[in-house]
Amino acid sequence: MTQPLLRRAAHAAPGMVLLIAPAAWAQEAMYTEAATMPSKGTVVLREQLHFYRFGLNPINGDQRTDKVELSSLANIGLGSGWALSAEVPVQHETTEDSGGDREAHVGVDDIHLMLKWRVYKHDSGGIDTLRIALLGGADVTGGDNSRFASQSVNPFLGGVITIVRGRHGFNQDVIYQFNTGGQEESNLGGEGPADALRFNTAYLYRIYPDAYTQETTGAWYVTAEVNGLYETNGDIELRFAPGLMFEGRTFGFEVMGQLPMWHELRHRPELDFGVGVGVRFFF
Amino acid sequence: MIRKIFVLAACSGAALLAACSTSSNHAAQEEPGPVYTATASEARYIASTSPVEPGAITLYVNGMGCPLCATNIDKQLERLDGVSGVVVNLGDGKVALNVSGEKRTSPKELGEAVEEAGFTLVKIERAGSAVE
Repeated sequence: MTQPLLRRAAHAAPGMVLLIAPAAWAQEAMYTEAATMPSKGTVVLREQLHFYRFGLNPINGDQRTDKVELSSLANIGLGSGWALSAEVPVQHETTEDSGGDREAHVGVDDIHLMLKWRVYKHDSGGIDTLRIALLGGADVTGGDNSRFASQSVNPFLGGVITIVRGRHGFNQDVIYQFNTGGQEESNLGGEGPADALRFNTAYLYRIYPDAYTQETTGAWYVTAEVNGLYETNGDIELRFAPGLMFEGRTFGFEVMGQLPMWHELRHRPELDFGVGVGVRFFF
Repeated sequence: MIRKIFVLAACSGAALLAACSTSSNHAAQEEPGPVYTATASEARYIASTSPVEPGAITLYVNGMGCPLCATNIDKQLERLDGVSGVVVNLGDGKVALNVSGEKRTSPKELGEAVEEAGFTLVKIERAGSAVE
């Protein structure tokens, strides 16, 4: 059933206000975690708009699914290497069945709550660093219908390593999610009922400035990610995500694309392509 | 279809690498960033809980790899007693600030603030020479 977007957004608003209490990143690509975080009391708000197009759904027979996702994330530094983040994704899905009939749905996906703990830091130079963080949390149902919300609490555990050497940055994360709910017909990747193992690699290269100076107030990066997802039902997928990112002292901006690289999917539709834009504000 | 995808991915990757290699003629001659180390006496001073002498000082910080880092470190240092005028130079990893007033922060608190911001304070310098 299609529901008005405004009504759904109003639904999500109280939750989003609560989330502002909780993180910031530096050199973090769009789809890969980083072992960086905001300092104590610093808040980062991140808004991302994604569009994904999927092909034939082998479970329900839909020929095509277009998904638009507006994701609002708040991240707060708690101090001593801890940060808390919360993300509320509002989604709009358009499906086209085998007869060519189209149907639209709007809803709120599970709320993503995550605690990050930096367990290792080695700053080997003015710019160079190596950091490792543990990640833990849960995707908690927002109370929406089962097309979007899993009606369950799905805990996850993982880790991420970040290495910065001059103009080069590297992030690698691995996260295992124990899915306790979700429906196969509405799963577009990692949303259950099978458990999910995510493994993402990101490379960032600072294209401007060549070198930081006293006047530097922002930096441009090109990014390249490989986003992997294995589900315990046997489905496995690799995506390639090139992008461009700007990071200033109080705000950031990012544009990414996402393309399928390789997959073996029998329980959900294949991705045709995805694009995303995002902004970040640091308080 | 698979072949098309791989070609597209390969093209994107090649474009990315081309952008990287042509973005600057200085890439090949990029100078390594600063790497700070401290003598034993400089390290001892950072652990001191005595108030910092009034005046301008410079913090030598490792790990500041991005513009946001400057924001993180600004916020933590400006909370300390007597600290003002924090200026972060990402180019050389130095943070300049002034310390004044009756109630002044200590080197240990400066180190803790830098650590809280996510970085590593290596040494503190005043008027052109390391504070000991």
